[in-house]
Amino acid sequence: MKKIILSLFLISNLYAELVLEITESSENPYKIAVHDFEGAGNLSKIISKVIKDDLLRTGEFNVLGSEDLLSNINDIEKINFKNYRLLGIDFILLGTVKIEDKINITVSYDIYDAVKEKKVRSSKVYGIPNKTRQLAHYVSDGVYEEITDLRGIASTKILYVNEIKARSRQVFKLMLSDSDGMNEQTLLSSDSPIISPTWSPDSQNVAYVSFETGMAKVFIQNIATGSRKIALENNYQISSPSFSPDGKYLSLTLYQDGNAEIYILDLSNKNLTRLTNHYSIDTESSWSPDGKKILFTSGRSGSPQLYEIDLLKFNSKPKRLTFDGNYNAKASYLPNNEGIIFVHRTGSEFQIALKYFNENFSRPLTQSRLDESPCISPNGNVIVYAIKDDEQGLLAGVTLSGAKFKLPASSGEVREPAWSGFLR
Amino acid sequence: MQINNNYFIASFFSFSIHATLILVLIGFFYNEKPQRPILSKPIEVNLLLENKTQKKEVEQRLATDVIEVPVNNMSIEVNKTEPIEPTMTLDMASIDSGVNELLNEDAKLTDNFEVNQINEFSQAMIRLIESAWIKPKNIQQGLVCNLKIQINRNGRIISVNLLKSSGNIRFDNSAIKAVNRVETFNFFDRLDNKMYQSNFRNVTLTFNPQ
Repeated sequence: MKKIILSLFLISNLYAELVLEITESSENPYKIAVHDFEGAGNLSKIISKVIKDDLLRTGEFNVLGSEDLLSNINDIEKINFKNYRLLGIDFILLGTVKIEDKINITVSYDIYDAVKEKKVRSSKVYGIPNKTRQLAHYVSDGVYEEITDLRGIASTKILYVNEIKARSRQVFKLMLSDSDGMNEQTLLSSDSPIISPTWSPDSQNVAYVSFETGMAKVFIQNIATGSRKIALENNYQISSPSFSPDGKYLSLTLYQDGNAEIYILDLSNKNLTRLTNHYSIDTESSWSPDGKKILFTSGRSGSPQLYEIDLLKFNSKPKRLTFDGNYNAKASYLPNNEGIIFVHRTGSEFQIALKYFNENFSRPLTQSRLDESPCISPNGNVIVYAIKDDEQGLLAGVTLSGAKFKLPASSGEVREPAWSGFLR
Repeated sequence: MQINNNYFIASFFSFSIHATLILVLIGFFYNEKPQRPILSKPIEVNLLLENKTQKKEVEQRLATDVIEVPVNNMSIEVNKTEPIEPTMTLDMASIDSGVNELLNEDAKLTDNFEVNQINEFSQAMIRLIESAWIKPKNIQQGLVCNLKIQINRNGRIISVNLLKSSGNIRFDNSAIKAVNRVETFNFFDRLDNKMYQSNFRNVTLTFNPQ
């Protein structure tokens, strides 16, 4: 009998569990050593540079290049992990570029953990010679994913409007670039203004407002084929399109009642459903990631504020989301639906701010004067927005971890960025 | 009438079964057990019983030894006389209370020692994990996640499971990453086997930034 009781106690004892509470964290980000990639001469140098820039822009790492390191070794047998640890390095990236033939390049890379002294990832990416930057972006995303367990956004695209003032006329261009602002492509060039570009959820199409007909009209354009069609034909001004997460609906601002109201357009049968009804302006709609709610800017309280409307409830009343500051506009949801980002005015300065739904205050993320049009990356880590630098409009980015960067503009004013979804 | 009556009985049984099910589901029969302290009480009691019987056996054996003492030669006799004294005094005093007091003190001492050791090792583990944890910036306040880790005898973390998510993937990932970075608690060789089995085999980690 005693034995039975004893064994019972032993069993229960196995389940007695120690609970440890972790409250402090290290302030130092991970340090990565990126050795210049081997092979293919100049090409490998470019690829190494692009990778280093990509990793820096995530704001989550300290990046050391070959020039900061003692030696340039590219052989695992020769890696002396102790030396890396002395420099405080957590991860080491080594890679090789190989030109297979005229149309094929492979980049193979290995990530080593300097603390555990072992290889943690070994991978290969394939591409064609004139898209070497794309290959480098794939490697960056692999590194980012290995270290943070989150998907990388280096290989995604950004859509924006570029305005070029020539002597006699203005040209408006709808542009597409890599997430680092390079590799620009023109999707549309027009004499009339283009505004509010946005992506379809599958990143195959873009929607934008063009004034080419003399009125504001929403167009949907396929990126691959370039074919475009008008989303809704009527005699009213239409603006700020936004695709629903399933891609079947488009929310729009229509001026058919004399003032701006938000409507939902069913793309399959062109049926319009009115969402708001108020004598003040309601505009800049944006869908929640689950497609159940729509966020918009409204002047119904006397100043621009953000409201949310529940699409699942019949006749639901808009719920006000922002209460601090007398200007909160141009909002969109975080990809994980935990909060919103928007333009927030404090005093005379317009900043990009973040507000979590379970917090009753806004977190300003930028400090400049005239920040506008924030747009978040599909992994929810980076926000790209438009700034005024020496009266010149260009794009800048800020990561939630606090890193800031500017995207180079080729020429003219750049504004209204829109981030694609994951493309790979 | 007969059929109606059957229906009535059937509906009564159905009602009672469903009511029980609902009550079970809403936790009506659930008694919350008090959380087990770090050292489980029943073990101490058990150890006491064990020790007591062992001690008693030892005493008996000593007593039999004492009888044999005169037979053996002098040098051994001298050695053996020393342990006789406590048994003598114990014989004179009331045996039960004396033994119990001694054993209680003994247990307390070992208790304190164990608790101290557990604290010491826990602190070392917390320090290691904290130094490996990079908390993501600009996350909302009040995020907490629980991880359950399994550690083998050599201090190597063999499994990490998310017990309770904070709801924020960046936060959860950073916690899992921190534990994976630690990989091995290299001081586990100083831990005695019993304490490892009872306290450090499965550990729950709560990431709760202040």
